[in-house]
Amino acid sequence: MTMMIRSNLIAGMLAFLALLALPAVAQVPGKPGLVDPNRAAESELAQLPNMTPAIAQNMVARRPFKTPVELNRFLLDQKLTPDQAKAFYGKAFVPINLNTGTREEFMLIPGVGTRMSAEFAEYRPWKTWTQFDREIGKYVGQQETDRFKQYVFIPAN
Amino acid sequence: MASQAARSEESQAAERPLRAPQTNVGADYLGVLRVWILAVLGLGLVGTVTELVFLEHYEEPLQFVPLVLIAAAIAVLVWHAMRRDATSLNALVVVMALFVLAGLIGIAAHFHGSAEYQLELDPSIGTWELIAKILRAKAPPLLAPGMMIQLGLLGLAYALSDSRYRTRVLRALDGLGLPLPKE
Repeated sequence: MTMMIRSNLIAGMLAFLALLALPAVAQVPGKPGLVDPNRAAESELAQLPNMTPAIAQNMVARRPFKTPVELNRFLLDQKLTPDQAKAFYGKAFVPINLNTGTREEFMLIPGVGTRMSAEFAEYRPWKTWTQFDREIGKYVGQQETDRFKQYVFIPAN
Repeated sequence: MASQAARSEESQAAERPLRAPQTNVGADYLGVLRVWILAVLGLGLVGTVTELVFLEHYEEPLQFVPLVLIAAAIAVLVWHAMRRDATSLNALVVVMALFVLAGLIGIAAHFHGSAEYQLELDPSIGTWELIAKILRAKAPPLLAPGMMIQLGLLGLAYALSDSRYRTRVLRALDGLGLPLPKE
């Protein structure tokens, strides 16, 4: 009897944890691969393109960055050029909510300009990655669509 | 005597060139063919405008062009079906020529639009690679405006095969050095 109660308790806890994890899973970028500047260790940040130990230290002190625009402002304040910042975004980025992201935010994604940022906004609300693959893939192919998925997320609701 | 006359008639008949019986079969056949072309043109216009509306092909001013032209073509076709006069036929020629022109401009516009996406991704992309990517992209479909060219040519085939255009068409063919149809 005690065994049964214990196993039910464990199952209940697991189910609760799974429920808690659900929104988090739904909000991760469509394709992992980039470093999150809000979570990465200082040593990891220091190895990214155009980073110095000093900038990495300042970044850790300054975070959290709520949007890529904040991150971009920080990097430019650290005397990085826009091209150097873009190179950094090739490896690390603050993911953008596809349903609320601004044009300014989308345009920080390497390879995204006015045309593609307009497409991101046009097909709102984004509900699934299948929808993203279908709508964005027709313009730039699946390979680039997969790359964009590293920079954005679809919110659970 | 009678047999000699019969033989002479036979030899004269043998010397005469063979001729098809003088009927209006060619004209009838052309008439049927023109009605068939008109029906295909009508179906194409309705099908194309339906697809364009479903695709919401009206987000930018240039995207209205095929919709406006198709509406004009349908109106002119109805007018021509009712009146069958030279004025409506001339109007059809003008609208169909505009279809061909719009199709060419449409292909250029689709090429330019698709190139913008590719150049955003890689501004240093080579010309041939750019063309290959544009041809492979599903949107905007590069050759889709070719439908307008096809419809325009169908309309012109219908209009210019009308007897009222015969002299002008023959003169144009002659001017271009193209072979003229045999009488």
